[in-house]
Amino acid sequence: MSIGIVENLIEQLSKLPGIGRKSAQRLAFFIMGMPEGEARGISEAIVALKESARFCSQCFNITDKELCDICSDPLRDAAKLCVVEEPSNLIVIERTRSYRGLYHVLLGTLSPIDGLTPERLKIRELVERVGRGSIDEVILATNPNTKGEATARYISDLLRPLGVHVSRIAYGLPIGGDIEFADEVTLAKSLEGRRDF
Amino acid sequence: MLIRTEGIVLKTFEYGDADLIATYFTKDHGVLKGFVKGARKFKSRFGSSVEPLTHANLSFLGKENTQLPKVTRSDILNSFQTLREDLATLLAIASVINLLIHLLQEKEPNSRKYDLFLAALKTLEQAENRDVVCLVFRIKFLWMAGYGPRVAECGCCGTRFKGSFGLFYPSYGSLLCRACASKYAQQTATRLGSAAIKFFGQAKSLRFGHILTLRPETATLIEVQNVLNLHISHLTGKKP
Repeated sequence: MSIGIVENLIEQLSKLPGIGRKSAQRLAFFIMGMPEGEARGISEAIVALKESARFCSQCFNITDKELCDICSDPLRDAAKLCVVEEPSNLIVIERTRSYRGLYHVLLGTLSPIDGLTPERLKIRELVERVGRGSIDEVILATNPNTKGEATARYISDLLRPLGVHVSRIAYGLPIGGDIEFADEVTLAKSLEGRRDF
Repeated sequence: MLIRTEGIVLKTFEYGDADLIATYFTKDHGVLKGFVKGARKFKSRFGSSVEPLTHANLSFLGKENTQLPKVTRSDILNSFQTLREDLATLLAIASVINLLIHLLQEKEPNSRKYDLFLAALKTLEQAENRDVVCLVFRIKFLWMAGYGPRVAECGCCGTRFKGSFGLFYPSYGSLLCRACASKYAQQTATRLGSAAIKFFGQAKSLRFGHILTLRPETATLIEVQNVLNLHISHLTGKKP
């Protein structure tokens, strides 16, 4: 076996985010020790993803069909729309199993410091979708940081004239954390957003 | 190397899965970049202290002359959260932050400029017309950095300005009198009325506390803003 094959795999793996040369080397030797079927499974999954993955034409989630599984599910609540920054955010919300509505993925955020560039995001498509009238509530689930907050405010200003109820996911303390270590902004927000118990 | 100082977050960018690289304007070390490990995790001890505009007590740890020390402590002194919550204010502050990033050198301390920026943020918190405060800060900062636009006299011959308006030449960073302007007719100039010229003078000399009492007309503000944007654009080589 030529060492060039291993070297090539290490080089390819180190292109992945968070994988340095040492991690890539460890992965390459691990793959070498794997049963052939499993290694082939990984490579085929990567190729299949690249060949058939596309954005859902309605919500811009990643799918291999025209409409993703969520948009084409008749049991989902089509009157609720949750707006997220990236498809990875959608996966995390789905894992909670406490939301049964639809989604809209923006594919990014606005950055006020670097200049607003709403045309790069799927905001126009969101406004058109809400404008069609079948949605009662839009839940803005962008990240609770400066960029996510600016994006939520920008979208909220666009949607309010359409007469739709716009809500924002709650701010507060993470479960399992300790109040002692919370910063004052998070703690103040959690006090503002308290509710009857 | 351990650096302990206070600073204000100018901007951040995401790095890796959960980390941030933050650009700070610090009191004792000028602009410093720091690596903030795990800052985007919900249970991170940094919490919201790495959000832009946060004024915090900071500690940086790294090898001597490292380009990117690790941020090991960030205790909030003032979060300036109300400024971050308003999109229009954030956009106005963005022009201030971009000017700072362009004209400040990394690791060159300048406590006067730092104090001016902190005073501007504190004034912004109380101000109704936050655009005016941002405009005034940019004018004050440019003068402090030695790049202030000259609008009181001709930039060529030094004749004091008289009349209802003057012509500002971005390539000179100055108004030019008629006699001098005739020599440079091929250069583009922007009209600057006497009220706008007066505003430039007030912005340069007044303290931030007094700025809240200024009530310039919208047309004057637009004129000042246009000239300032052209001037900064000429200095930085970036579009306004």
